[in-house]
Amino acid sequence: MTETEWLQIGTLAAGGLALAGVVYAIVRWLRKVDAVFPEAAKKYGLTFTHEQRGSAFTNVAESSRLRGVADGTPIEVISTYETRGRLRIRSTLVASRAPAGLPPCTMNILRRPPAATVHLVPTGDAQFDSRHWVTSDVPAVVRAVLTPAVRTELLSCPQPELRLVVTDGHLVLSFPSTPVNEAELHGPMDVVLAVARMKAP
Amino acid sequence: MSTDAYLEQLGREHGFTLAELEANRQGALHPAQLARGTRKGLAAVVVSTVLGFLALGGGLVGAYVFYDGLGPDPSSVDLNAVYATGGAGIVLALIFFVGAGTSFVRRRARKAAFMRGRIDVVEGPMNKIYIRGRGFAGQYIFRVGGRSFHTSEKLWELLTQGAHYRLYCVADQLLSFAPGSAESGSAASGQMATKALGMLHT
Repeated sequence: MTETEWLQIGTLAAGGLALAGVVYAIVRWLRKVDAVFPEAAKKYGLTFTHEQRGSAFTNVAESSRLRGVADGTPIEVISTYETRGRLRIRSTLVASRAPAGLPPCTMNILRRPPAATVHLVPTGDAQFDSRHWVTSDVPAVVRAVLTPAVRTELLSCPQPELRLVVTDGHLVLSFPSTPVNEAELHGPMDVVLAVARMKAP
Repeated sequence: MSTDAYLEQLGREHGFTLAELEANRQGALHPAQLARGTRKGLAAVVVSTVLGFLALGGGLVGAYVFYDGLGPDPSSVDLNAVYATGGAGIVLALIFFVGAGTSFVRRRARKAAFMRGRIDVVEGPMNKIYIRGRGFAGQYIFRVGGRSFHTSEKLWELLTQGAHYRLYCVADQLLSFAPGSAESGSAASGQMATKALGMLHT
């Protein structure tokens, strides 16, 4: 074989190897993402279910759900991916029971300062306040809910924005994405468990 | 940030003044809002009508000029081109005229609503929606009390998700709005949570 032929074969082989590497990395990543919910189910002792409706030619609704009692605290996680025409909707809700006597409140926990500070609620914890900004129109409830334990759990959440809603008997933490790694799922679950286990104000 | 500074910021982005907001809170329309409301939509009607006549005139005149230059015995291909030019002008003109008609009807209804001066007060928890555009611009929407409003990114960023807001509207126009009190905020959160819990079985 001539030198040019060897070069061509070498280039093709290198290209094939690079393509195989990319395919391998994608498959590995997808398997890791698929394992996030079953692993969380094992860690927290919950039941994992997965549902899928629709096909490549119709709208799709996929949901991963964790449900059960983690160390005496009921918890439920629903992560959904939905298509409606050109729309792609991803959302995750983590819910549990709220401590008794906590008034209703919606708080937004952001990783960047809000455009308007009128609803900004500083927690007084310098380390937390330098990394997270909390907005709500019910500041007293925010201060009651964001105990040191809850703030510590919030610091480990990688989501750019979380919404925590407290209402009579329930609390729901939500974010507009589906978890793709352990931190994105365990972080919010630990926050909800920390709030659910806090002493009633 | 004081509430007044926040209201000024909201007003700057949406287009209302504190005086206008105060008038709306009293259940009245501010004269500037009335003038704006009765004027609004006129440009769309005029522009669509002018474009309709231009399309009609351009198509028909273009077709005539083309036909005139063909000589005494035009081929069927040339005649088809003449019909196509005229037809395209008429179709385009019809589209513009329908647009102008729709804008006119909408404007008349809006003008009547402004003349009646009845202000609808909508209140509830702020629900912010962002639809990321894939190949087109993203949409910034907010929803309060069952009504949705498209807005700019800047104004959308100023709003607080879940907080209680009170909106003052006439017909399909959002005149002004302001955040509500902390007490009503608690109630607002309750409404939002109840909605979210509808998806769950805890």
